[in-house]
Amino acid sequence: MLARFEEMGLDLEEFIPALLRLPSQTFRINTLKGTRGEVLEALSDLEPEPCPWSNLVFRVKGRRKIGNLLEHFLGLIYAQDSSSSIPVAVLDPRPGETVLDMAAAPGSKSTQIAAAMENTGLLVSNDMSVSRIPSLTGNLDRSGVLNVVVTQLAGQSYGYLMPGQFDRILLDAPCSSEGTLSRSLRVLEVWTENSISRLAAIQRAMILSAYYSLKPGGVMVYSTCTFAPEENEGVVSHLLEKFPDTVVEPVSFEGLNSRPGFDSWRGSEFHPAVKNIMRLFPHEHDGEGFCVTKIRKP
Amino acid sequence: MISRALEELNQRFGVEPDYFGSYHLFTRKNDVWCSTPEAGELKLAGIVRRGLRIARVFDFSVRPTTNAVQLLADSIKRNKVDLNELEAKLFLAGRTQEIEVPKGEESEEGVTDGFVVAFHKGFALGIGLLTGTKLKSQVPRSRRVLG
Repeated sequence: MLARFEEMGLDLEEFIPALLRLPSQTFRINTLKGTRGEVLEALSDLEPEPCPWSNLVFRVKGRRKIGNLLEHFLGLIYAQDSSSSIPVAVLDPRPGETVLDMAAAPGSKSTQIAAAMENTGLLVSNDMSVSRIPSLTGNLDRSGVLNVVVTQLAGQSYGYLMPGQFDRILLDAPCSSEGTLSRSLRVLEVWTENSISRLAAIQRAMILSAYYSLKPGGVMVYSTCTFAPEENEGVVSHLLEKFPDTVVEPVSFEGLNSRPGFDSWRGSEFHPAVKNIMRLFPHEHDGEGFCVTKIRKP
Repeated sequence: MISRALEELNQRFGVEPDYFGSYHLFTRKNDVWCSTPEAGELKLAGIVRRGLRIARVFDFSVRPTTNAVQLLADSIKRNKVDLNELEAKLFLAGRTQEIEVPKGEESEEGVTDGFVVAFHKGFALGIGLLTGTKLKSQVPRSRRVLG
């Protein structure tokens, strides 16, 4: 893994300690249950500071058991890593739309989408894993989500089950999770070069399925919490090879340090449009490692 | 079953039936669920569930869910009990406790035996069962906050 990070041009002396250090705790205000003002007043002793990409996402000082707070029980807040809230900020779902969260458990992004949709329209929250469905439904319940249909299907099946039906799709793909090492070293136990290849094959099938499910003019966000180019630029390039008219839109937020996508990896050139991928590294941004791509279907 | 649930929400808690006017209500076994019309209409294989469960209907009573009363908090007008910090902690832990409550139907603050909504600092915590001065928390096991 370290050799690969070096190949990515990362300064390991800065990168590795940041990768293993827990980022600041963050929470998102759930506007389905309370107003921003109400929640901030209730949590004033945490001294929350807003993140640049959303006026509903806040960092807190020190380490607190956010999950034990009354406001968490009430569903007024959702404890969520700061990076993890970015894909939905990029997706920008609107009230009344039809939206798919293709790999939704445990529900942090689905609840964020439902709040942005103001509990209107239709949100389909899907997860293939039966064991992850209870955490998904539990978080949807706690957050007061009414516009949701929860499904347990392989994400790859949506392309033929619901073709051309979604205004927006979030594909926060199952990945090798290199960016979450600070949370769990278990990532190292299952990480292999082979697992990256295996996951990339699944991701390629999922991104095509998601694309088929998107309405013309619709927006899809493809994100992972890993640095592996095979799972990011490689997957998006695969989509662009199949559908050359696809638009990869640039993503940036003022005050958020990010890098563009890689143009090549181990001798293979990617599609030039993948430079618009937003890469987040923990030594440059107070959050877990993440890659986010905004795709528009013409 | 739906009309019974709405009637009870209205009579016991003062929630106007209009609150659910733009939503789709449906039943599963003894439960009443609520979703948006779009979520109610979707036909697809692999559906696990839609929307939120708002009430369970028993032979002689209707119990709104914790999740429902938290969403409905601003619309709840009657049978509310206000808990102090310690009482709220016990309630969230799923405990039964003795509380002091203004009894009777004469005033808006008065509560009667049966299901009540527990509040703390203006937020609806969930449903409790009041018998005399004994309040039994109905917070589901999976939502309880211990410690």
